[in-house]
Amino acid sequence: MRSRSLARPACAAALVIGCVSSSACAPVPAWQRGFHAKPKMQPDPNPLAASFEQHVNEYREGSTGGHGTVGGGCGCN
Amino acid sequence: MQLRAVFATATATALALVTHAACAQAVVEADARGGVYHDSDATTIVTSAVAARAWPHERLSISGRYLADVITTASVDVVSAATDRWDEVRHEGSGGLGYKDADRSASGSYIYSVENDWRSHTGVLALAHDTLDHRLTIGLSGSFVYNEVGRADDENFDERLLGGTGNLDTTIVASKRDLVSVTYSLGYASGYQASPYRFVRFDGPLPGAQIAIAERHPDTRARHAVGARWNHHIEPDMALRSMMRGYVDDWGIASGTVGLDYVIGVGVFEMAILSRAYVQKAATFYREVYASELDYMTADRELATFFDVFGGLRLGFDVRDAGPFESIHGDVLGKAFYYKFFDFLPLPERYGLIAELGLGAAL
Repeated sequence: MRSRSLARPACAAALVIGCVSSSACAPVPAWQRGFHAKPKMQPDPNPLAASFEQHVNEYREGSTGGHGTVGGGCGCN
Repeated sequence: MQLRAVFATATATALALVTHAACAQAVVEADARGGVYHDSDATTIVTSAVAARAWPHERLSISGRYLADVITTASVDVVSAATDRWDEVRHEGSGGLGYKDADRSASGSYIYSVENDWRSHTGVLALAHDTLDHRLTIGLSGSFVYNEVGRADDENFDERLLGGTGNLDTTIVASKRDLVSVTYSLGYASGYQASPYRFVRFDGPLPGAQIAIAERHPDTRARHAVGARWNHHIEPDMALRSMMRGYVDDWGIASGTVGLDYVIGVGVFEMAILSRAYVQKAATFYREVYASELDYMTADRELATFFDVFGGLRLGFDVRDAGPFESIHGDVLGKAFYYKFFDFLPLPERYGLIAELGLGAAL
């Protein structure tokens, strides 16, 4: 019962991530990625500030996880 | 005293490593951040942190961080534990190593956290790989945490809580203006997950008499979360940063989060309008009032049904090539928040303010 309850969300998440990843085939040449290199476009431009925010939320809400950990898009992960 | 010695040694070691790295190569980043949280539930938390990262080699980095929380509270939690008020200090220190080349990055870190009734050790490993001409970044990360749970003024109370988390991340170049990232997290915890200070009341066998017992949570918990982030650049120098997240666990909690930040750059200055909303369905064993004794019982409002909203403003600056510094940056942040609890009698709502100040430099 427990393994089924674990498997369903994991499979659904893998499917979503797979579908979204396949959209990366859209060709955007390197010279058109100047915007992506800006700090305001990065997933986590200020890790210390992000850790403060997560600290506040995870202590006061019943859920956790789902926050990205890698950057990318411009060869700058 | 012993604790002070440990942190003094750790800080001195980190500073020595960073100084050595600074001599070896002129790339060092240092950041400091302070914040104050205050809410209508009589809780104030002052948080201070310093972090440093250095690159002794162009592909290798070392990092360290120290954080302290000073908590003062007379919350309904504390009152229900038959105490007027308590003060507590939590110390957290971490150190890490990182590797990065043109296509790959890897990092590992260790975090130690201690307070008067809790001690934890955490190890984190993360890997990321750029592919499809850097259009797609795939990341894998995992962590393991070992907690020793105690209770103030009770040397016989000694519990353990072990946990692990795995994350799969992808970041995608969707267009020349759009970055999309999707993350799946799986978490599993085993051990003591209740609070030794919270008590649940229910009707006893005698009419009008109530019995209070320490809350009881299940020993295991499996959590799933899927988060998506979409960052869209708007000319000349603005960005819309949006996020959404769905979460479920085997305690019956389901939640959704949405967030939208509007970031405007003007020269070296930046302003961001911040917003976030969260809604949660209660755990299956949560009750507003327990009529009789059950296997699992809780008085934890974070397991109740509630929503919260946050709104705020951040003002920042980032100056490049400032004298000997490669960059100097800083920001000031103010947020207001409101929580509405639908089935938690002692606290139907909570509101408050958060203020933060951050400063940093790269040399």
